[in-house]
Amino acid sequence: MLARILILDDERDILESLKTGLERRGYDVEISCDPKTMLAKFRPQKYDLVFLDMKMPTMGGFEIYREIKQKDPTARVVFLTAFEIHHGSITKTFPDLTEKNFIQKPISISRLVDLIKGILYDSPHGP
Amino acid sequence: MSKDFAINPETDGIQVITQPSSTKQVYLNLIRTANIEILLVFPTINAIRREEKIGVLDELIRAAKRGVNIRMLSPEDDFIKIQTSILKENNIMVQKIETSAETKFKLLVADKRLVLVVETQDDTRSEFTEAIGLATISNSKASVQPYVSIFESFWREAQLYEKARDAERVKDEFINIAAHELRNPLMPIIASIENLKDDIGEIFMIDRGQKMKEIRESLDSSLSIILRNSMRLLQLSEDILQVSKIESGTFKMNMESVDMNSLIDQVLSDIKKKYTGQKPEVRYSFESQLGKNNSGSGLVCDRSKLTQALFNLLDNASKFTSSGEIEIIASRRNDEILLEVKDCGPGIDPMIKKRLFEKFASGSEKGTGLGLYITRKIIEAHGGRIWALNNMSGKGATFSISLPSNLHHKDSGLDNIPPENLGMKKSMQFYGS
Repeated sequence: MLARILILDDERDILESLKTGLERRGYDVEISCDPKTMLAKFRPQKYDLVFLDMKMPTMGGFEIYREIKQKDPTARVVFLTAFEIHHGSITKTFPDLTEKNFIQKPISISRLVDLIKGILYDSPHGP
Repeated sequence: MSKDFAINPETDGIQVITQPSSTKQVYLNLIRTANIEILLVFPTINAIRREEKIGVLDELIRAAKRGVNIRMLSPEDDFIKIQTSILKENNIMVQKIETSAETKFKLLVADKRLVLVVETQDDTRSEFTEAIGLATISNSKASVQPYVSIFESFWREAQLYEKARDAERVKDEFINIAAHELRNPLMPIIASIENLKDDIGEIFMIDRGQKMKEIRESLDSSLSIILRNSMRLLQLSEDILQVSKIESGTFKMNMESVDMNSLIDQVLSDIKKKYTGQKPEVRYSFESQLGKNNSGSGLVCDRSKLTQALFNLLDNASKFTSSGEIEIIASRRNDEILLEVKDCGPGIDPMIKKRLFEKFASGSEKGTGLGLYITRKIIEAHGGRIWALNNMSGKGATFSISLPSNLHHKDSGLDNIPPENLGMKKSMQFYGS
């Protein structure tokens, strides 16, 4: 098993297709479309990488990010989003977020795996 | 009214108030004694903070509660937003003045009968009486009426500006939502195609017979078609969104210092990756005459947009070149950085040369027809130029970009790019979760 990944998105098709693809490539993948349930079950050090959608019906992505970081400041979180990414204004509010924390959808599984390897092996506590 | 001065209510008059303490008293009394209407202009953000301390906002709320119709023009920051929302809850109408329109004077017109004008002498002071200079109070029609007209003009302008801002916000939001709705379904399509290809591979591992081989090849071919056309749809939707943003004026630039040598290296790497296996006879080379340090290769630009523009040019060159070399040359010429992409393809068709950088110029099946248009708009937004010529050798063409190297950047960027080159909004970027 290469790494434990959690993916949070409100689109089931995205969750299932990513889970299938990443598990095939050796990752242990947990998926969720309910932020509140996910946060209730979230434990520090449980996941090597968390992918978050930027906007979900019940909770905003940044709010989820804050809660995850409160539970585990070392958690690696990456936003997987179909929205336009405006780094300038985001980093003003969240200075610890860099371009590496954002991946624009759609993205192929193989490209996602390249990025995951880059994130996990780039720095021990990044992104 | 203060003992230091008085206006005779029987006659028209104008009085100059020299003592700031008197001005403060007169100001507060005017609010307390107004019966019908108060028109108020706060000159600066600091002015509101000072006047909140002396009880002006509380007096306005009391006046509103006794039925006085109050309209207020003021600049805004996060603190003032809170104050103005409290005022609005008490039926006081507030319009925002842009900070670029901050004035040096405070204005109060009470009941269209009395006008108080107060000079701001030192806006850095935290106390009202230390910040103001002279004031005048008048009950003369000749004085009051012009100030009422000034206020009404400011008010109308502020309303129009707010409408324009709202309309822009709606456009921005629409494009953002459209982007989201186009991109999201493509994600599971692309991922599922990969998964299906993996499935086929696994089935083939189980049964390597001839029939299975043929089925596999057929499935692979169909999946490749689906994937290829999904990527075309994706590219088309991205290009259409870009063009929508350009034409609606919501295309935002994010200027920063960039090392051009690294940017070009990255673009080259991306292009080679895209065409891996497709163009084995095509070679890419990059000659930089920019130097290695920041003064040589540094440029203030929008990194991701310039990357996109250069990628489009290289992509274009790659599509039309089947073998030979595609060269990128970067050099500095006076106050400009010059980038040239030279290919050895068939050259530019004279029939479309004049419209080359317009939408859907080529009618080619090899792209969306928007790439060069978007590239031109990006370059022009940087105050630069783009042009293309067939090579003197008779083989291929060279696409050239020149970019001014003397741009400066602030948070909102682009202050020294002529507005006519933009067609895009100079504004703070906004994103909300």
